[in-house]
Amino acid sequence: MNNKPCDAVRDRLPEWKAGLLQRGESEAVEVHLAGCDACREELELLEALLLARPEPPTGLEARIRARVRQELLHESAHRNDPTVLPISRGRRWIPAWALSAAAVVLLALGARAILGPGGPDAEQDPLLVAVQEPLPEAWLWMDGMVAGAPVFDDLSDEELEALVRELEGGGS
Amino acid sequence: MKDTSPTRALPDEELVRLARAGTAAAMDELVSRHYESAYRVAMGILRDGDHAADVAQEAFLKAFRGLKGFRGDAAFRTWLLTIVANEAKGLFRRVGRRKEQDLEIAGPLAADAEDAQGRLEEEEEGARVRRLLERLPEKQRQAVTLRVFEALSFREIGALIDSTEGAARVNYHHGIRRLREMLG
Repeated sequence: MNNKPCDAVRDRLPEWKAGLLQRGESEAVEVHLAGCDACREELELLEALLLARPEPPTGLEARIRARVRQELLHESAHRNDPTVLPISRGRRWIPAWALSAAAVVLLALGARAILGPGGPDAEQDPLLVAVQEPLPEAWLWMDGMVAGAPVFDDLSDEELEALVRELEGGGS
Repeated sequence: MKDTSPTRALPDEELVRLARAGTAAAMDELVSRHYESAYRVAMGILRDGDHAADVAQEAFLKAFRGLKGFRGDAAFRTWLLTIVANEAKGLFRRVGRRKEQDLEIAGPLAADAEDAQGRLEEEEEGARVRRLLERLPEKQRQAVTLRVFEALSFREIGALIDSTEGAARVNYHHGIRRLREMLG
């Protein structure tokens, strides 16, 4: 024997118990349950079954979170993930946009030294032009750290580190 | 760890977008929302708490690693649980299921009784229901537990237990009918 309203309500009971129904749907189920013994019995059966629902062991959530952070961060650091450019200097990471900005400034200074202030482009200061260049788009990475776009794709880690050392010593 | 509260209000789709860009807080929130379901789906296949926990963990790693290939055709949860089910089936094929494990020690009960007496009664009832669930044919048991414990649709259940949506529905209704008879 088919009972359409009861069938519809029973079909929705798991979602209703899980709080997944829209407000209107949820209210319709509650109204029906209030006046239907058979559907309340069905609900009691589901509630009995829910007593058998296994819960995860304590600490599993934290364990998964920690593992995800540990492994994915580790992997990104080892494969030059395009979303982050990890260059170790002690325990600090240098965002790629900082490197690119520094390199642009360095190149601009070189050009200025070669051309001189009275060169053919004297009216347009190369340093100013370089600094006005838009920086690469930045992305958020682990813990909100800002990392830059891969502006040195062609360089190896060693070359990048040499560039950093060069930049650090460039001012002296 | 950073305060992840801003991510709590975001829908899964937005969290997936942020996680794909590498935002750890978004990954944390996705773990918080779905680790229980992941664990239970694995438990339903393996019936072993330690293995289920390992599978849930591996599935999250696999899901996050594969986010770039996730097109969003299905909900993240469905996609994740499919990975869980596949991982669990793979592990089951390799190591088998610990049939002898007493499911009464599989984990604490869902219900949180206010007093010890009430808790004891619920534990006893839960253990009894678990034993009855074990008496169902495999597909019926899986359809019932995935539907009742996780509120998955029959289409989702069918995908997880390698059957059609219609077969999942039939298995669920047969299982519920048998449980009703057994529970008296």
